[in-house]
Amino acid sequence: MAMLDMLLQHGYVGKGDGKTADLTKGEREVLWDRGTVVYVEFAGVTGMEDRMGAMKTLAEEKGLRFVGLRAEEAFDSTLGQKLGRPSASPGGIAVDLSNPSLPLLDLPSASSPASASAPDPLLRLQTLLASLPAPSRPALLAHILSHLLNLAAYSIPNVSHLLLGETSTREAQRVVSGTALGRGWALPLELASATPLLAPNTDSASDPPPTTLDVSAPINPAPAPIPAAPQSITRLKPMKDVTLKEAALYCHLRGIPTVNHRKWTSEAGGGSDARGKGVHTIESLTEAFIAGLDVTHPATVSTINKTGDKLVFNGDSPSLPGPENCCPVCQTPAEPSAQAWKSRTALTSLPGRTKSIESAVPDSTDDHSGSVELAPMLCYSCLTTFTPSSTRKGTDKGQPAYLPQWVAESVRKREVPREEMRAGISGFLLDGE
Amino acid sequence: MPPTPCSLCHSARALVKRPKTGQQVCKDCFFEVFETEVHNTIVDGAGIFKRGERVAIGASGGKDSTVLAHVLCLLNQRYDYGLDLFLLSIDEGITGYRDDSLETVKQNQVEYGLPLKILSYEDLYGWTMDRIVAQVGKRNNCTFCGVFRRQALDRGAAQLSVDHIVTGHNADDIAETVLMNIMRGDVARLSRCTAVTTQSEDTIKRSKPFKYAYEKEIVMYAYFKKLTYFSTECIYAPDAYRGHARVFLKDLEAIRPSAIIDIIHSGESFVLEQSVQKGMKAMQTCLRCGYMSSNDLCKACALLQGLEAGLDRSALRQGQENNLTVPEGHRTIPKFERITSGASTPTTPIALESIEKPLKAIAM
Repeated sequence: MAMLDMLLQHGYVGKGDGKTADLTKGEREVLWDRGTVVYVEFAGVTGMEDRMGAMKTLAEEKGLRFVGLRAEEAFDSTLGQKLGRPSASPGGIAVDLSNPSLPLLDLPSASSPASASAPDPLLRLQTLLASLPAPSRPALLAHILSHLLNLAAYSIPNVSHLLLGETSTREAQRVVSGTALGRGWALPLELASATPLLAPNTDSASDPPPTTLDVSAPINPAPAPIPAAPQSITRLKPMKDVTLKEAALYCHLRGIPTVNHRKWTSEAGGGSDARGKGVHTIESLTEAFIAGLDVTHPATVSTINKTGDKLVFNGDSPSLPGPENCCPVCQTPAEPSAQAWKSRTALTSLPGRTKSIESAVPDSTDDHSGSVELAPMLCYSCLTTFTPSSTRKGTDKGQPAYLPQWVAESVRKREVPREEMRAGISGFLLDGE
Repeated sequence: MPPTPCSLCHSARALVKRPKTGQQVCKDCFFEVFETEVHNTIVDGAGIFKRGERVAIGASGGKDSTVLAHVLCLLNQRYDYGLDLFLLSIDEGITGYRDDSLETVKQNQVEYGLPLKILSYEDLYGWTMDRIVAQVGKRNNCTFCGVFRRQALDRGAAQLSVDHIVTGHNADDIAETVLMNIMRGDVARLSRCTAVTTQSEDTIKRSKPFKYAYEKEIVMYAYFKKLTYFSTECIYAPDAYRGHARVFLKDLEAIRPSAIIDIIHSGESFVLEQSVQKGMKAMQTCLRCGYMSSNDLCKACALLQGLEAGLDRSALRQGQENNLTVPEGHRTIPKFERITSGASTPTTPIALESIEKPLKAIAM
């Protein structure tokens, strides 16, 4: 809210009327002709008050356009269509979280009659969250937020930048919690103050150009199909050098109401407590830790951020990786051998040990032979997020948990069609095959 | 309720839950999986050791070094690494802490039949940690101990003519160090603290075979193997900055046990930008004692100069450039005699702790 107010207050965002500034009168040239507020509502999973209407009113009062999305729409296969970006792979996908290799199960597309009995998107999101260990839930919700913001940005015509209001305090928390979550590989990309956004369903050669979007309503079910030029959007963090306290003070002095808790780290979901401190997730523990340390060591936030600024991405160029080169969940460039590293440093089997008698009997409910496995495609952090907890007894064996739509699309783009496989081995096939 | 079978062998009854993976396993499988993971760390990539190497185990008498000595002797025999093993212990002069743990080291010497070398801060620098803390206070004293111990280990290893030092740093220590270096902005240390082997030019290699071993599993191993060790945290530790990272790490582990290994994985992935790497100073030797240094004076000589001058915490800010004249009456660190790598036998006799005296003490 502080960022939004500052951008408007200082004239960085125009009203879209094409008016040029009169520099002789001291007016400032706008940086962006028009602005759009993108808001993602998580009330369906946090239990907080639904603020979609309030945010829309706020945006309209300030002369800005508004796009409102709900977290559960990440599981809605028709969302792309609603936003003018039809998906090439409309069917959903589910995963068996009780199996460490995370076998995937195809689901019927929304147009198929079989999809009528499928749970609605909110139930899919809630089911997935309930299936994950409590410490893994904030990470998944963060990926959902990031993806929906990206999707919205690429759906709005003539957008050049996506601005995020992350403060320096939030960035320091990201450095530490990201390290604790095993996200060291992708951390430099997440911390960068300016970075190109990966377009959803990136395949610039084959994707149709996005259509224009009527942003006067949260979602326009029937957008007018007017072709627009392909976009390249940069993500910016203008508040990177402003602390949380400074932003809060600004809002207080300007009389701007704010909601300062996301409640993604709801303790109602159970999970282990941090030794009686009343927190159950790494993110909330990190917030409390940094806030506490900042009192006795005031330079903590700035020092941590300076450390983060000195890190560089260790992989190939992070800009616009193809689907085969990115983690299907977090969409960051693929991390080499994450699964191999995990299995090497923490053995979960010993060679030569006999299998149990039970495992010798085929279990029809556990038959995922031939199914695609998600685990090898994931980065280390996402692999940890989806790793079943050994103490968790709530996950039904073989019961699938639905995955967000973008994961399904990303996985399908990696699949090599049988025709292509055949073409590769055609020289070795005998007659009749 | 029927007993739970071991998740690994599926036959014996599970007796423990592995802190690292949460698997319920029997005792024998726990031993095997723990030892196998350490073996994998040792042989991974090009391997930590070379056949015929003389290896000094940094021994404090605590759980990490006691289990390390045990496991390394075991694996050396089982997989025929072909190593010559020694025990090297440093006496920092902390009353009520180090004097008792050294007795445990002497027991280790007898149990494993390894030669033992003890070096003390008193002999080397003329100061004990008790005296240092009395002068500089309880904050920042870890800096003195860390700097002095590092040099003491290298000097002891040089006297033993070893090619390699191994220490019992475990996964918790390394994860703690990663967090601490992020919080303090120490990018130089951050870039190397997750390496399993570190070696600067003209220094002895140091390795951490327990890099991926959880502290809790080391304790578990020692408990079930009935190994004896001295278990007390350094009495000056609670006031250290590292304590903040340690408490945070323990809380993280309580929420998600894999957090420790996840932090190490993140640390391994970190790469510094080129300008930071190029800005780091090149190594040279200290113009006073001959130890490796990035300045004219090594940190140990600079700190010692501050202590000898009667400074308190400001001893930490002693300059390391153009300050080579030793004030009269001040102690200095003896010249560092470097034994080049590959020398398998020392040319002069080395004063090692004889095994007879500890044997007699135990017999009594």
